Amino acid sequence: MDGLETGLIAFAALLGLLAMGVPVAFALGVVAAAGMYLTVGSTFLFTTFQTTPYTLTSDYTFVVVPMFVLMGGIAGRAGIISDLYTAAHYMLDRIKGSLLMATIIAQAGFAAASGSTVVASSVFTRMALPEMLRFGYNGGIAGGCIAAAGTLAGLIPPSIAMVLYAMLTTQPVGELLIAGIIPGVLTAGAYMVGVRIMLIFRPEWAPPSKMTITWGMRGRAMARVWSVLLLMTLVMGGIYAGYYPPSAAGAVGAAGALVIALSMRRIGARDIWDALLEAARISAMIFAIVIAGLIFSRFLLISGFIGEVRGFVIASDLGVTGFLLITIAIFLILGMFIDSVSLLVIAVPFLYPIAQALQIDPIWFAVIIIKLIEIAAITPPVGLNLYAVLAAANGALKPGELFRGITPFIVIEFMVLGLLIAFPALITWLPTTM
Amino acid sequence: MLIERLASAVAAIALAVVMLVGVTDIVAGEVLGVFLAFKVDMSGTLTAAAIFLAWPLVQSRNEHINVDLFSGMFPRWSVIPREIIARLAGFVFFALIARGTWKVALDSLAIREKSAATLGYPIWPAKLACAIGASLVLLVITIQIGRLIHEMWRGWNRPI
Repeated sequence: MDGLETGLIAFAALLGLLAMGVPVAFALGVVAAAGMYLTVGSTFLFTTFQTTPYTLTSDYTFVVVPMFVLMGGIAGRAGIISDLYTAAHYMLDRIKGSLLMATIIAQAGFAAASGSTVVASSVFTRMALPEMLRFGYNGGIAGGCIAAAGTLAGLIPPSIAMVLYAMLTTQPVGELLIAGIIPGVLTAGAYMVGVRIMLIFRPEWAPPSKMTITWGMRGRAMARVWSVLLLMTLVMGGIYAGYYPPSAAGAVGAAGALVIALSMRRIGARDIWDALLEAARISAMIFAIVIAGLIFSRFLLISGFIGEVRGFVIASDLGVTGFLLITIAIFLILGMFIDSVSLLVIAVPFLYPIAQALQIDPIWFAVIIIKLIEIAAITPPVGLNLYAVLAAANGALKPGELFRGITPFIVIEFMVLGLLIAFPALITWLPTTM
Repeated sequence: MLIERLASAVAAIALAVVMLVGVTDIVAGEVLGVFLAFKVDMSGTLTAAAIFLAWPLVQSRNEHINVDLFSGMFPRWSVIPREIIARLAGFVFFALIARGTWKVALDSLAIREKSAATLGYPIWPAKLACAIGASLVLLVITIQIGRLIHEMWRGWNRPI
């Protein structure tokens, strides 16, 4: 049996197990173990399982994962994000669709304090959706806006997706994190422009606010957003200026969020303990998938699958454009059924070596991949962010309503993706200035 | 179970220490020009211990990410057998990890392994904690499989 056949059988077995409801980490691990045993025998299998889990989890570079999760957990519990939302709402009150705009801006700010798109979506659904529905906003558009803006956390540092990509490809974490800033800001800007254009044609989707907001209220609200700005400066500024590596930035960010929360008297011992436990649990889930994914990618390599696929792509003269189109198609199709983290772990191990063979800039490719998994996160029927919104909405939104509401945002996402592909410097420029 | 709660409590404390070490190193380094020599080893080993020790709680809560889109397509009677298959897959995965980690831990314990780079910082306790964490997951999965089989057995013997 050649490498291609072995790999295809492995993927079929993997998809079969996933369909049966086997957790992604277990499915990847078991298929990789069986494949390794049958391909190269037990010695290689046992050595791989002996070295990979501890080596990966004890790598100082990846300490950043639990630290970024912890930082988001503390910031969320301290209500730092609701301050930002209130400030954005008050400042933009005179603009049509102000609550949609405020949601986008606040979620961009939240993205700078938390790297999880799902957390962003559920936090904002609880905070912004009731407010928007109270003012008569279209529920689908409101929910769609929250789910779509949640994806900003995948691009704007500290992005956990970027760190995962770095784990799978050994690319530098710092450069990857910084590379996401311009695409993240661009996406937020595109959403705001998109919302504005939508409301020209459908003004009934966002009736004007009847609240009276004074300049005093605006001033007081703005005075409370210093915490988010400080966190942003601590994390992004430190990495960009080269004061400390991303792992230390994670620790500084988590400690910074804790000090800010304590100084504002908004967090107690119970909250801190819960945030620590949550960070341990979420990191354990992420590392289980990444360990299994790395072992799976090692199996694909030793089975000859990656070599044969790479040879096939190069021989068929697909070129960068053809490869990118196939990559987009893979992510769109698989993204309808598989969540973002799993998709990243399953697809990157065989796409990345091909991208390397085609001499595609690894940082640029990373951001395109993250963009694609974020699009997958808002694409029905499985889009993880959509489910986070539906779950947090507590019946206030129907799936069909949300699926219709997310459609314009998916169109905007593809426009931004087109821009990033057409102008690679939007991604590659900032890391070169570090 | 008390044991998985204890393990996750140790994991949470380990993460708190990682945060404190990381920030102390930066503050002491920038202000006093004194960096913590053991920062890299300590942060890395404690994070590994935290991840391994948090796995039992994640497993007992069934929090590992899965794709449940196709669940509705399977017949109702298949729910418990599919859950058993999922646990068995988990058992194989974690058994391989536990086997490898115990080997790493026992080798480390035998020589009381310390960091070569920094002040003799001991590495073996973290490796031992990892092995214990991986083994606890196996215990949790075994109990879960036992419960599922019991449930299936009761379903078969239930009067119609």
